[in-house]
Amino acid sequence: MQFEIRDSRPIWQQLAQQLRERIVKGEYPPGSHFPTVRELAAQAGVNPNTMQRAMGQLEADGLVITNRTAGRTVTEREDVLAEMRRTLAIQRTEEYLKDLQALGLDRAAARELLGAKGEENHE
Amino acid sequence: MLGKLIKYDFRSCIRRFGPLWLGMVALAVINGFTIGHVLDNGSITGWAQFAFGVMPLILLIVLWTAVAIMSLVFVCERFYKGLLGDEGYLSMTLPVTTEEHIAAKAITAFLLELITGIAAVVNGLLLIAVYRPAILAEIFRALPKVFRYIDGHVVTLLIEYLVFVLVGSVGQTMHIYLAICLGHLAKNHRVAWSLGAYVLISVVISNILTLCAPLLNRIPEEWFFTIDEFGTHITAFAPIAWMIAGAILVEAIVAAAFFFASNYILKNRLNLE
Amino acid sequence: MSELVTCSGLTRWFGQTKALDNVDLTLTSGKIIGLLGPNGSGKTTLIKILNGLLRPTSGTALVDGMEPGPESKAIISYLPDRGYFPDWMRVGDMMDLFEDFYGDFDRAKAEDMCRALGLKSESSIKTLSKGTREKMQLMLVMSRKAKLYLLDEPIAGVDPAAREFIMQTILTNYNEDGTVLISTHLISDIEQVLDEAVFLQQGKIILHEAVDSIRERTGESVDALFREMFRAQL
Repeated sequence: MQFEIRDSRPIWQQLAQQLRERIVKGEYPPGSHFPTVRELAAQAGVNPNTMQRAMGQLEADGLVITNRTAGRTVTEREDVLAEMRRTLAIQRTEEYLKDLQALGLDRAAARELLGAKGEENHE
Repeated sequence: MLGKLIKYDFRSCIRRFGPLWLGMVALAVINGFTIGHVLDNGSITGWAQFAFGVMPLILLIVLWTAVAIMSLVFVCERFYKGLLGDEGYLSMTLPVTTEEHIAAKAITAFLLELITGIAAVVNGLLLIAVYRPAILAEIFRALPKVFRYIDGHVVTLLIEYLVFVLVGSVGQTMHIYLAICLGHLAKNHRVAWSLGAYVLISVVISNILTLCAPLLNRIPEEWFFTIDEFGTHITAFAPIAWMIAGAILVEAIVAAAFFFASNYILKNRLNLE
Repeated sequence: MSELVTCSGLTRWFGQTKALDNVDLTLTSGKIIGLLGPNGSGKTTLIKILNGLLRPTSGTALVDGMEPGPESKAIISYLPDRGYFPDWMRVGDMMDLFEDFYGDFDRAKAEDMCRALGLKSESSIKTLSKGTREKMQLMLVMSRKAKLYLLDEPIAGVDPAAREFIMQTILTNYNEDGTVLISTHLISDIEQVLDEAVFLQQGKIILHEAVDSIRERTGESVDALFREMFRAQL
């Protein structure tokens, strides 16, 4: 699995973000065994310390539970996953609106576009 | 660690010379055969004589010469490439002292010379054994007679001489190593500088020795009394023995000086590139 | 976390050129540190002094509290920027050598890695391609559980696929209690692997900071910051 590291933000934050998305998308199914820091770091080609920080974020989010004997597992709590799904969606929306604003479109125009596009997808 | 270094240096030596030594043995046996049956045989002439009689002999001589030259080249090359070339990035970062590096190379060089010398003798004997076993038998029969003439003095002198040759060989190796180390100090054309250094060292040493010659005149006469209660065939034993001993000492001191100088350069003035 | 490398006032001249200028540097253990600078900035010189291939002109360099010598060499695993295999050796000979001289060498691991590359112990190293030789050299170096890894330009002059292989090999095998010092001028390729970055310019250290801190402080990647600071030289 490849991770995308873009420029400015600290790498651990970018990794944490992508891992959050993967968990929410179900690429790491609820209740499943989560890879170790070292495995993920090697996959991502990053420093294990960096990946450790990213993991720390996931634990703080409650997305991942550390069991001293069994390692890390993905949470099975639906409410936590739903909360994160919503958080990520809101982040995306805010980014989207900011992008449109930069193009010169206000919220009304954005809503119109969403409506039109939404119907297109249903057809 | 020294033993381990020698192990690898010696391994490289065996890889290069092993086949050659075997070749020498094979050619010695072949020649023993061909000299007897082809060259000595008047009825084989012309092309056949050349191909089967002369060629093997030429090959043998060429091989012996090649081994002698290659041994010298090997000693120089292993030191130069092994410590000061790209390989130096490996060897000089091993957890080993510079003294151990030099000693290991010198010991391997010594062993190589020793083995080459023994191989030459064995070759000769082998050739004779195949050619005319009778000659060999006669030599062995004559040996006990020779032993009757050898007494304490002769043995001592022989041993002394042997030691002198061995120490001398180590000294020569050290001379080469120092020259290579001195050449390494230069920025470019290190090989040329090494050759120059080799010559320079020879000149310096011989000049020093000449300067010391007058000292010999000051050695007291009492040291040269001859022991003739044994009635040996060698009358001037003592002076010769002392002289050889002196030569060994000088050679050893010079070799040690070369060793320390080379070591200093490797330890403090190393600059690989 | 202990100090693994301490340099103070480290200076090295080559004739009229000052390759290292009064370098003060402390490296702690358990980190992957990038020694970053353009060609000729003194990276290789610093590494050579740490592993004992060069003597300082003045100042000191200590590795694990010791001056470079046989004891420090025993705990340093060094990958130079060139091939260093004796041409008479076979793959098996190199394994023997590493095993004989380095107590921290994991021969089984090295053999596994070499087997994965299709290398056999009897193969003569001379017959291997340059790329394979480089990989083998890397594998041997990374199969040691050393306290300090000194990797001099491991990815320069190497195609992107091999670069990934190299970074993977380093990450999966290094001793996490030790420190890895990677010198390079190709920062974007290794930035995500680094804990700290040291910028070296004309023999002087102009920056030594944690990578996360650089990104948070400047809002830029280390690569971008590097290009900015070294604009004239690149």
